[in-house]
Amino acid sequence: MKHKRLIVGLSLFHLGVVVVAAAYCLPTWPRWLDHIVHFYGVATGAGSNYGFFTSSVRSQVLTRFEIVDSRGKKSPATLPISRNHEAEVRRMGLGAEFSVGKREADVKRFQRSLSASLAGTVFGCHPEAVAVIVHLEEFATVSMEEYRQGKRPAILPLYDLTFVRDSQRVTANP
Amino acid sequence: MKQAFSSRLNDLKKQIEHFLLDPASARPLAILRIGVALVLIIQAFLLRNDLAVFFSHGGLVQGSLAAHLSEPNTPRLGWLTDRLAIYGISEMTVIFFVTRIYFFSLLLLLVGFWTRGAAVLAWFLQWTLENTGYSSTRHPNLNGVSWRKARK
Repeated sequence: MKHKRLIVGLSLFHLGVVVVAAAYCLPTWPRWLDHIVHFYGVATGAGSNYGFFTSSVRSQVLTRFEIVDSRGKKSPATLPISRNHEAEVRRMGLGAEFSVGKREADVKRFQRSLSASLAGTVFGCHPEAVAVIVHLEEFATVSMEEYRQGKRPAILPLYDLTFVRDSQRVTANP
Repeated sequence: MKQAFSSRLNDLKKQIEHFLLDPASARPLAILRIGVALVLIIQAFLLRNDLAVFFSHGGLVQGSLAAHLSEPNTPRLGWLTDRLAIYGISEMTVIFFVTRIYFFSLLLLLVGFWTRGAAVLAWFLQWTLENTGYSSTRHPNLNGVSWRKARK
């Protein structure tokens, strides 16, 4: 009987976490309980908010790279990952990380650090490059209603960041 | 009134017990196990050439940035590499062996040999690898924001 109750209790707890996360509500419960529920949700996947069932999509941040050689010639560059769907999904997922942070200053600082990290990877693949330009662009989506009114999705520039290879270090010029 | 309420509560308890605890065929669970293992094996196979890029300290998202993006207090390969580094074992060696163990656990899960142990091992290593470096599959094109993001 005790064993049965434990199984029923755990099942209901799991279901509760799924419902709370799917409903995207963040209840104000005690801190210790919050930690337990959050950790459990992360460990089991019960904390997913099932965004793939959403009726709309939000704008997406895209990254594009250009390298500049010693003669000043610019050419497009890509990240050194396999050309398959799984690797591509992860590369695309990086775009989402460019909006991490609550305040705009945090987001900007984080975008700069993440751009530097990616530029470092591109420098590693292109020893001939003296500079790497990281282009952050927004794929601005439109709602179905806007689409019917003639509006179309567009790629808008967010900002560009140039990283220059010095003989000793890499510096950034916004 | 009180009796009717009590009787309904008992019925509800019985229905929940019936739903959660009555013996059922294990076949759907076996199909789910095989399906999940197959998908993860294909995924692991497709990413076999990108281990350093996605999981190493100097990969796409480097060092402290990767730590910033990952969930705090969750297992990461960095914990193991830091401890083994003092014995001269390199990060790539650790990544190589952990990913091979992960792949092996998926094979066990697929064929249904040592199933429970393989399931726990595969789950833990999958979680660890997801938290290491930048290996997440969160897709930015979805409107939903993960629980983790909402809290940052």
